[in-house]
Amino acid sequence: MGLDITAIGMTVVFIALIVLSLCIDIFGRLFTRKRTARNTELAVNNPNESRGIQTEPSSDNQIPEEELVAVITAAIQASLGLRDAGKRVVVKSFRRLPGSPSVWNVTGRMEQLGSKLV
Amino acid sequence: MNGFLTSIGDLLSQSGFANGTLLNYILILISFVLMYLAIVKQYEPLLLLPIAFGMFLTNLPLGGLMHAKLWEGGHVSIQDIVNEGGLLDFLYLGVKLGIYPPLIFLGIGAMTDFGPLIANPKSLILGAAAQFGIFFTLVGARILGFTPQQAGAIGIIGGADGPTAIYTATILAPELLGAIAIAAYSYMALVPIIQPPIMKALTTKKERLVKMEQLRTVSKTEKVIFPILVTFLVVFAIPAAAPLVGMLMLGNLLKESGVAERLVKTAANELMNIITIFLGISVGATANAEKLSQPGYGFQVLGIIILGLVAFSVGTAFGVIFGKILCWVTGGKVNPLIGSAGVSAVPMAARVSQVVGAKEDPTNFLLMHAMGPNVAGVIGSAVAAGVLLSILG
Repeated sequence: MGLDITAIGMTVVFIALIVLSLCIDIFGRLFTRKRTARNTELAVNNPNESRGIQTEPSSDNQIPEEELVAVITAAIQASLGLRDAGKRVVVKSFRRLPGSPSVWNVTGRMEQLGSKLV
Repeated sequence: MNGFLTSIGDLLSQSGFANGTLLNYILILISFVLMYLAIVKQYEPLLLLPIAFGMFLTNLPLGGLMHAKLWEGGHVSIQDIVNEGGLLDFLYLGVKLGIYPPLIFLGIGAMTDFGPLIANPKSLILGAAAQFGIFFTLVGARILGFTPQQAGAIGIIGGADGPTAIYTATILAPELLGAIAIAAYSYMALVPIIQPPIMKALTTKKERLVKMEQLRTVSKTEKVIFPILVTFLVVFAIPAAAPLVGMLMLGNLLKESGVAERLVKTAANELMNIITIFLGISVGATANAEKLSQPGYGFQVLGIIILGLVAFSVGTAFGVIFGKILCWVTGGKVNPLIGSAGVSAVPMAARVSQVVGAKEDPTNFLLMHAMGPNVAGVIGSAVAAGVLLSILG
């Protein structure tokens, strides 16, 4: 009555997809480990003048850390006009404020608004 | 004078009006209804319009476009088709030989982003769970009296994947292809209506409010390795799934590699459109009176319609139930609502998860998380189809 096919079929589908998910997991971890190794090297370099400033946004190991640090540092320098004064900034640590919306929420909302504005 | 009257007599006796059966007219009327749905109600017009017109053309008596007897008996004689076939017979070869569905999968792969799945491989488990709808329906079809092959072809409707359903039905139960194809695409369009009540019934409010962690970014290397890895593993495990999974992953590899931009554009646009036209018109053409006038066909179609609904509902239910299991196992990190997206009507089922989640909490953005199980379901239903083809084919 098809129950045997069901049993075999579901078992095969599950095993195949579980094996697949494990492989993807392993591959994913291999690649993320390579990337965090690169990140720690870059964090060691320091410019000569420093001013410790506490800033808000987050450190995730998902987003390339050196890019995030560079962007935030540049933003602080620009907004404080430090570059013209010849001073440099080193970001010592940063932390995301809890409760702020995720990037997708914001992007999704912006896309919704954008589509309605036309 | 006599010759003149004889000629008119001949002309009349060879006309469609003299040679049509009642069933021809009924099917033509049904095709008009389908055309109305496609044009006026805009109900899946890209597929329904060619299908409806194919149904129309094939039932025009003596039109010679499609000959049901050429396709009987399972074995296809190319010589007969070349000698006696009409236009739609030739186009139908692409269906019968299993060419069109894999090519559609090529286009789908070129349009799909597997990023959310790679970032969260657990989605594959949800994609697998939703395929239970296929097998549950298979059992139901057997209870209703369908043969094992027919039951398998009907069950695949629960995979919520048009090309997979057509590919499987062509091999296992070609006599039911037209009904299965129309049922599959109709229920895919009805996903936003079928799924939410089941999802709400099986989840608690607290579960629906779960906010999931943002997914990690997926590197290009991972996205390029993924299609190769999947093809390798799946096809080694279930060779019968090779045409579908192979083409899906080829399309995806073309896209993710970034070096075949022109091919990706063609696969996702022009190729898809061409195949859709040919597929639609030839699948519609199988619904001709000669084939349908076999006894019991009406009941079979009714059974397929009911079983299709069962397939989608059970698939949704099992996806959500496994979502709940994952939620419990991970300590509340997975929102069960994404489980229903394992019913691989991409991207509709993922959008339904988003909408149902947003009803509880408008700031809950589940869409990307639901895309993981959604695309996993495409792979899952292709694997299930491969299993059915191996066992029943």
